[in-house]
Amino acid sequence: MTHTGIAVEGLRHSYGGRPAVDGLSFTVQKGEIVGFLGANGAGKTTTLRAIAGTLEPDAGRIQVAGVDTRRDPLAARTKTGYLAEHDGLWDGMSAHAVLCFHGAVRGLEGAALEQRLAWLTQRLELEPVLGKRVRECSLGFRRRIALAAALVHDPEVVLLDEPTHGLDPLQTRAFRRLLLEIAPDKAVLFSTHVLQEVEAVCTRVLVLQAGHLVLDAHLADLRLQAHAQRCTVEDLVVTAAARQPAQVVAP
Amino acid sequence: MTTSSLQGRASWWRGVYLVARRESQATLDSNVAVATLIVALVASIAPFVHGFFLSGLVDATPFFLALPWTLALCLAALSMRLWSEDVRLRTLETWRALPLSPLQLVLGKWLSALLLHVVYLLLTTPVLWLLAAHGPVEWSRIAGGYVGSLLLGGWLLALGAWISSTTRDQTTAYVLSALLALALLALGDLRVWTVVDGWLPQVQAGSWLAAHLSPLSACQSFARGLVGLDAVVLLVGQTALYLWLNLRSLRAMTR
Repeated sequence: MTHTGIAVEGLRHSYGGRPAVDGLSFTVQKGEIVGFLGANGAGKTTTLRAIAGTLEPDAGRIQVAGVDTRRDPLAARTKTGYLAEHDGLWDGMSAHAVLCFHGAVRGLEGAALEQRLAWLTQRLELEPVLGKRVRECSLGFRRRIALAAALVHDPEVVLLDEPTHGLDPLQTRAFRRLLLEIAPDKAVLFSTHVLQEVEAVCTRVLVLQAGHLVLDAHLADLRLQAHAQRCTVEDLVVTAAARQPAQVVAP
Repeated sequence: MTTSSLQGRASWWRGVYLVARRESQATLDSNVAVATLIVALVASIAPFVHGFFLSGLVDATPFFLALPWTLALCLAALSMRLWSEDVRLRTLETWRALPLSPLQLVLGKWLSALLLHVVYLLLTTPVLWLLAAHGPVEWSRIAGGYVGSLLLGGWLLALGAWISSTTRDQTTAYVLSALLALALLALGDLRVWTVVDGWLPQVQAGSWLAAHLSPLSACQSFARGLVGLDAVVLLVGQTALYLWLNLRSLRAMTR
């Protein structure tokens, strides 16, 4: 059975009457890595939280791997891996205990869990901190432990909120390699402020401004456009981010 | 899109168990639990033993009659961190991203605290050996006392868990939980409800509150070995109410 990885339709959410996301609609297909850009407060985290199911939006419909998040939130969460903006790790647990807990809640145990943990440990280079408590780990390791926890169940949909925040350049490269390795059978949506990151791994870019989508374009098209206009992709994205919400550019 | 064989979730009760296990480990990790257990044991056993050697009466009733007040102060220290810590450390979002229902989370956290309360009750059993060594013991009274203490513990922890879900500050959660529990217990005291009755004699609010809201009279009947259905219904019903309020509060936190 095939279906869209992420489908967001008419998403709205306000905080104390101030709209954070206002009528947002977009889709992310399997195999796509979509960069989610926008200034602080543009609505990126609110959107990711609504898709992950950690926030109940005021209005709108969200489907994750074909499952409606409002109708069957638990089934939707089994298909989603979410790395929050803040690690969301329990400080007192060891890295290994955190990963085992996430796996167990997702129904993984025994050899399947061990195999998966071994794979993630190797890819994210977590070996040195597996036995350490989270509070004793550096920011970079904490980020990687949280990423491993988000990927422990090999989710179909991966949501990453500023995943490389706190990673050094080598770790960032390792993260990109991992993302490219897992992406072919997943829909990946990640928010970032770093455009080079988007250019390095993304196939498509979404730009939010004041809760509205102001740019939805494939990176290859943006490169062609930048070449034609003798500017950079960054110039195009920055121009889009400053654009009024009514002037949306479709892919 | 293909579905990975790794994508699933633990069964409903295993989910509750996993939440309870994680929370128990976290509580023990904080040292607050051990300190609370020691304080609760000393505060409940020492006065009883002192009174026992003065009076020489082989009767556990005074122990169980004093217990609600001690537990109101001590169990608030166990429940204060249940949710407020998650809000403060931003781990609430982690819980909500896992395939666990709000009811599983609320029950798991409550059961983890209740388990520590059971440990406390087990650690008070030397009191029974002391009594048994000095004369015949009325085991039905003791059984009633323990049933009442277990139910009261569940009631206090449900109340405390709900309060904890309304604030990010553990100290505030402790103070509010302890004060509310003490106030609700005090409403069942004859000296308090007769005063409240005196304010509005035609309404008889004090006696109504004592009978329908305060768990004190239920605990007193348990301490005397009387396990009445109305007392069980009052404690279990209010525990369910506080757990439901906790659920509502948890849902409100995700908006």
